[in-house]
Amino acid sequence: MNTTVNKSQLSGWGGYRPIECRVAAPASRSALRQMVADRQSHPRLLMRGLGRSYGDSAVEPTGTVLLQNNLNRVRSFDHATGLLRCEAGVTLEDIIHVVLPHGWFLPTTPGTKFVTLGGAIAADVHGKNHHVDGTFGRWVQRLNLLLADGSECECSPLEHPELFWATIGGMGLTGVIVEAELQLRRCPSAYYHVSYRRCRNLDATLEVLAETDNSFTYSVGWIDCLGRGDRLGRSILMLGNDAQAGDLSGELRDHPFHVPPTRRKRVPLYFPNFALNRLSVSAFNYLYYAVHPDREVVVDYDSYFYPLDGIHDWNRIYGRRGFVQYQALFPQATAERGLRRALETLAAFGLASFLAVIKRSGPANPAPLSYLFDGYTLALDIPNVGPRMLEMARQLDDILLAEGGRLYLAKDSLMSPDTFRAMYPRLGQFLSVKRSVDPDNRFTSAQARRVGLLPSS
Amino acid sequence: MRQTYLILGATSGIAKAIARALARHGHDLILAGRSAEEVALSAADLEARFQIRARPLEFDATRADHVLGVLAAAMECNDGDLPEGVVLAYGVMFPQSESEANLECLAQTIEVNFGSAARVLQAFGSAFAQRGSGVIVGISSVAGDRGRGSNYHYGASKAALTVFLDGMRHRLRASGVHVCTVLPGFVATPMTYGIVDPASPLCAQPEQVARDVLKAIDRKRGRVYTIWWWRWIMTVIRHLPEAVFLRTNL
Repeated sequence: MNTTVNKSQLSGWGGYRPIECRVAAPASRSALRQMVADRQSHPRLLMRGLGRSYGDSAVEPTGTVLLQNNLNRVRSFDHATGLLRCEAGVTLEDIIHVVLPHGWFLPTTPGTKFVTLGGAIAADVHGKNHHVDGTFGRWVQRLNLLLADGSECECSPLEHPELFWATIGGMGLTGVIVEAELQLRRCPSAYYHVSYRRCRNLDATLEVLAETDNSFTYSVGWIDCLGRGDRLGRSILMLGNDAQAGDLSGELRDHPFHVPPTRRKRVPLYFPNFALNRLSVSAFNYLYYAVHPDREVVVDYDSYFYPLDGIHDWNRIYGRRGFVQYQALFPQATAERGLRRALETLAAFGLASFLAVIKRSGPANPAPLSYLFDGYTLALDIPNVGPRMLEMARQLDDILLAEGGRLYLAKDSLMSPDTFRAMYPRLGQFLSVKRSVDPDNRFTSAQARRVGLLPSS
Repeated sequence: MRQTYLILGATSGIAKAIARALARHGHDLILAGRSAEEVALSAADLEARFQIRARPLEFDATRADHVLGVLAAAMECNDGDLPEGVVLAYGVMFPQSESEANLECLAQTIEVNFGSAARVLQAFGSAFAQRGSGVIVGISSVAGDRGRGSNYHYGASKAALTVFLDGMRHRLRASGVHVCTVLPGFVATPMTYGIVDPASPLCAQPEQVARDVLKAIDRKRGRVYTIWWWRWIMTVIRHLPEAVFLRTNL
């Protein structure tokens, strides 16, 4: 049985501060069980999927990091009810390939399909339809966990509900998610009607997002984080709805679930650090805004949900120094003021990249560490330029704290323990479950220790 | 046409990729492997993904009864019929130093990779010859092309397997049985985890190997290096003069 442990440099997708970890890739269920049971060799553990969280959520230099990619089998798929049961190492891409030909799709999806089912649950990811359909965790019917004492436990919203909800959004700290059962969503085709709306500033952006809340299932906006004055918060919203087979043209109408394959591009090397600067990003933003007039189009799921998946290794454009991702959630009541202050700070620093996204979010769920509640989120990449980046993040944190906002663990690289505690008031509820299933804190991560979720050593 | 293939060592990295590729082409499968739990998981997975029939079969190459009984067991899984083809994809590889220190490991390497494989292959070869059709694919290794100080225990077992497959191809040529010797180089699988760097340009993904194997079955190729450039690398390595070769640390 292969339980080889290998040393390798790990980081999140942002490539910020890679660190050497002991990594193993159990090739079978029994190898996984054996490693979890072996406290002597593996006093501390952390599961890692495809490493698409941005920061140090899936990194642990003081323990053994277990890759889950070999444990990726579909257990069952009911074509009639859309109930899918798989091992947690299955990727969302994989799930789409299995279920889409039968008229089903993911209930909600993040902006990349290169994440595992286990990772999606552990981060309680969300998509462009959060205001309608909630987070990924809402669609999980059942989980099979492997706990720190080596026992296996099945939980659901009805069976062991505290453990179930602590695991949703629990960043892998309650145990190993071995299998999950997911309720899929019926889809009439693999295509979406997308309506592009150009909004000339923040007021216009929020107005359109608010008024289209009920008429579009999916909404997302690209936002220019360098715009100032009356262009502050200018954006291009991409509002979407499912396309019916009958709405499709020609050949597609007869094969509504078929998407012709396209060639993927790859970023062949790390960009030099000077490639992204205020000038190049402003020029990009200017052009991007200019070439997207208001229009209606029909596009396939890949183009709408996963535009960056078409470019492999896109994180390399930030160079070897890496970047951090900053996703800020502002509560509905004060969102306008908070966003304005954040955008002013971003424009003043001039560090934000061209990949900035604004989204609407709906009500929170029962998971104590789940990220979203009613409001708006602003997500952006910040190239790692050292002290100025840290200073900007600190100022943004202050704004966010003052407005009662929150940062997203799956994206965070920098949050301090005080900030974390202030932003996650239901932490105590999570910790009481953690103490009951993993009193010795075997499941841990660099991030959990950094933000004070677990003891730091 | 929908046919049944038996995959021996079905939970190895390369075998999983081959099984998936065959299932994608609509073939039914018998998945034989050491862990009953793992082959059952894989069988259910392929059935759910590809709407084919996949039967699990417990098979341990270190057990004489399994080795000698595998033909009958496979037929039982296939409604009494011989499968159309067999893919032999199992093998063990110990770190050379471990197998130098522990001769039990050396014995197991030879027995699993060659001894058991030869008996299994001969049983299917004879049965296929009698039927007048069939496909036999054996996953050997470029490690068998020349004995190298760093890995000659494994290499010797694979060299024997290569010769066996090549000879069987010769023998069964007139009987309508296709025997294919597959010679993979570095492949990113659980067996090579921590030994080869999956990001290295010389390292193949199991899916690439599976594509080459399916192409080889389709075109009735005899010997296939995968990825193709290994043919040229190994040509060079085989022809290095002994005096030069001994000075390398391959």
